[in-house]
Amino acid sequence: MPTNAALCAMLAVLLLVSSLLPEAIRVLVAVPMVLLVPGYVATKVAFPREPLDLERLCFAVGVSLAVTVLIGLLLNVVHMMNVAGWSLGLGGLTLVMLPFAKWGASKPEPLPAFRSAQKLSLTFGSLLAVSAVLLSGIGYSQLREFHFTELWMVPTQTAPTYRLGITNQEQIAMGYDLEVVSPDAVVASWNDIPLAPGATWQRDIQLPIKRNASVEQRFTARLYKHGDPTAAMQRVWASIPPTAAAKLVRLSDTDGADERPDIEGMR
Amino acid sequence: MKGRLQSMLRLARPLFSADADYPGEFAGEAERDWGCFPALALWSGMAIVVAAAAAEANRREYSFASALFYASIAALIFPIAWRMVWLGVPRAERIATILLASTGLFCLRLIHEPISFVDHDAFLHWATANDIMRTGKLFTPNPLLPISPVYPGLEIIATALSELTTLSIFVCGQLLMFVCRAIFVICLFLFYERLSGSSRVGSLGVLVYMGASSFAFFDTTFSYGSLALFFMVIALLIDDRMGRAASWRCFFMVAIPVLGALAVTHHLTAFITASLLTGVAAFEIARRKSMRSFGYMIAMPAAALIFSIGWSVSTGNPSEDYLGPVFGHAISEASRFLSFEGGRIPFVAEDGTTAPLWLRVTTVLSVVILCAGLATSFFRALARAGVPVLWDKFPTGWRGFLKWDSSSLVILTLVTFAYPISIVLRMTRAGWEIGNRIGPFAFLGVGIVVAIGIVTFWQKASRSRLRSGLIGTAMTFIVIGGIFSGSGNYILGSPRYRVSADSASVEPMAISAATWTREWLGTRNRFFADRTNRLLLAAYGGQQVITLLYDKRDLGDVEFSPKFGPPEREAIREASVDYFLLDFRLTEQLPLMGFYFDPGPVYREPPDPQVLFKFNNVTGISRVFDNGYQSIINVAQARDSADAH
Repeated sequence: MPTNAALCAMLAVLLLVSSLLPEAIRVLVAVPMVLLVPGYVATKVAFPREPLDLERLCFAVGVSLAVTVLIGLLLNVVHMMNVAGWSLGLGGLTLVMLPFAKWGASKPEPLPAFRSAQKLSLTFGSLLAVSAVLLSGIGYSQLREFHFTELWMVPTQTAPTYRLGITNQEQIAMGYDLEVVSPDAVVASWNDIPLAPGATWQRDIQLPIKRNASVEQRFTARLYKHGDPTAAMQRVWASIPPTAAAKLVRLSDTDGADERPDIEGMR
Repeated sequence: MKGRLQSMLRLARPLFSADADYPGEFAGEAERDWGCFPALALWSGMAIVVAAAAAEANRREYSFASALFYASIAALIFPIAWRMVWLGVPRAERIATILLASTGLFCLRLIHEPISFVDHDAFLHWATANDIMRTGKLFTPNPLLPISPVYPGLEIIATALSELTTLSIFVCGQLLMFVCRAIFVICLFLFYERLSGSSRVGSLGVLVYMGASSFAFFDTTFSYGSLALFFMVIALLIDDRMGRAASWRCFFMVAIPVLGALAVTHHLTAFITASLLTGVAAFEIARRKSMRSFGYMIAMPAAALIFSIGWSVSTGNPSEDYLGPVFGHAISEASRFLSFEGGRIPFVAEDGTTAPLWLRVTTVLSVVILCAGLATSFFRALARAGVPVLWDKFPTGWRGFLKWDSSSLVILTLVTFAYPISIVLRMTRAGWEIGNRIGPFAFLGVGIVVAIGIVTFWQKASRSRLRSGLIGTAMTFIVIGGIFSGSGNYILGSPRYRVSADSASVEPMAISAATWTREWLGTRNRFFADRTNRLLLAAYGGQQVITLLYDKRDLGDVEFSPKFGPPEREAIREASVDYFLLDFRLTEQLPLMGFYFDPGPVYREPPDPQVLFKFNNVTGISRVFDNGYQSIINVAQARDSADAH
């Protein structure tokens, strides 16, 4: 069996067992199996005994990508658009085509050889380009125009418990004060919550929702910079209309830890 | 009077000359050496370093950053163009060098988008790919671009790569685009080389093609059109191969998969490819010198037509709904522009910002150079194709007209007429996008025709380095003008957030908010947000965003209305909205793209911030998230409560 045929067969078999392989090997196997190998074998069937010149290389990549698309349509029909389906589709097709391929091709015209100085400048040029792209990725990821703090209050699975959260994206360590108020009382408050850059703080809180309220009940969480109670940085609130309050309280009355407030049902 | 007319005709004679003989260059091409390629590779590496430095300078808000970036593009392209114009450059060096140029431009794209998608169209397809990864199925509706799941070729390959390698869709997408771009350039070179019989024309043609406004950035975006262009040029190369050495094996093993994949990848490219192949076949049938059998002649166009029309019909003709209005608006605006009734002001963005003078001059120069190139090359290209043109070999009988040598070259020469059409469309608001999309197809013809003009008229057999340098400069202008036409002044993105400015609006805070929704609200909630935030909500948050394109509703009126009353409540009820993402930064600037949500209303000034505060006092509307600039409000209870006020 010619070397190229053996290599194609080996890659196809490895793809069939790719889920068992380490990630790095999977990449090394899957990339050529999606981008080149099925098309390469197909061109060996279509153009028997022709060398792999530039035209055949283009056709090989084109056909590989094309059969990937067509196999994808087929896998969708049989509900197998997953690793197993792709392995079977691409690996199987390659193995099926292999016996029909004609490998006894004349060798393609060899490319000119690089001299040492040429190799050096090519390598150095490539290194410069790769480093430039990588450095730009680092610069891009460090660009942050907005420094901000996220505050949220969302209902949890058990009404009327709400989850409060703060994430510090100010790029410096921060201290926060947080209070939750209803129109007539402070429901809860926390002083000096220290948060490192990127860190998140969370608490669950039970809101004292009145069952038979005839007006809207609003619970507001206000976030302050520690020691600066003059202006709230962020505010979130839960507005409970009269009709919704009864449903929320009924759920909490049952102490049903697994029951979710029926906001979905109220939609 | 007669003398003046004669002298004018003499001046115009170069335009109509059919002198298309190539100078003797083939001896040099046989040399087996890499020539200047390694040195050019080193130089290109340095140019890319300068481009990366320009990107960093842009992030630090240095005013020279954009100019430095364009200078780095000039530094990349000029020596390559200069070298390609020379006579006697070996073929291997030409191929390696044009690959170098395209790789260099791809590196610039990576510098523009290094760690995650930032371009508008990439988000549209990323959302579709995410749906495939999440559901394991194709055709899940994508409100951002409803036609995208119906043409899932790109997303199928990207998800296959991602599933098999466990790499992210972004990495797989970039890898795919890089391979497609490299093979595209080689295919185009081979195609031009075959048609012209010269590797010099082939390499120059590819370089001119790089002047298409979408080549450097848009056509390497993670978008279905980028992959489809790759399939298109492969199909053209296969057709050429079928013309030289036809075989049914080649047709079934190579042509059918490629045409089939093209049909399910991109509507417009599939139709245009089918038209080009049909045109070539029709010309071949009409041609009196053709030796091809009828079956081989019609096999490719027939397959292309059957696949493209068949897929479109079987999926309910979505392309008709999608493309129809776009073309309709473009044509009506173009006709208004041509009758001087209005249009888009060139080089002025919708928010009133104007491009720098040097960029305006470069872009205009690039168009002028291309027009001059086309004017002096059109008849030469026809003559090269063997068409008996004008007085040189004018036939005596009508049958004499049907004796050309290359139908493909005739078709490509005629395709150049699309170039001025694309320029006119670019002068209109509605047609700008169509003009940009026509570019890659028009340049298929422009590339080879201008290259033939360079070889047979502008440079000829001259070995003058000065003349090569001037032509290289002209080609550099063409490439930079094209890049500016496609990417505008914000090629490096904006160091500061801009409202409704696509990549210049994508920044970490908005991404964090969108990611938060996935974690805390779950996926598939019905969200309404502005043009940029909805991209992020769909792609990062996995939310079901409401769009005019899919839901046929623009809730921008609700968001920007001064009060929240019964009509607003009714609108959100009809659209079944769960959440609004309110971005208070919208109230600070006019939108760069001309609209905040979907095309329609024209804004003279940003909205009053109070319009976004109107939700604060509505019973049943809860604010669940706030980061000081953006807030997310839950409107589900207010939507469903009849008595709320």
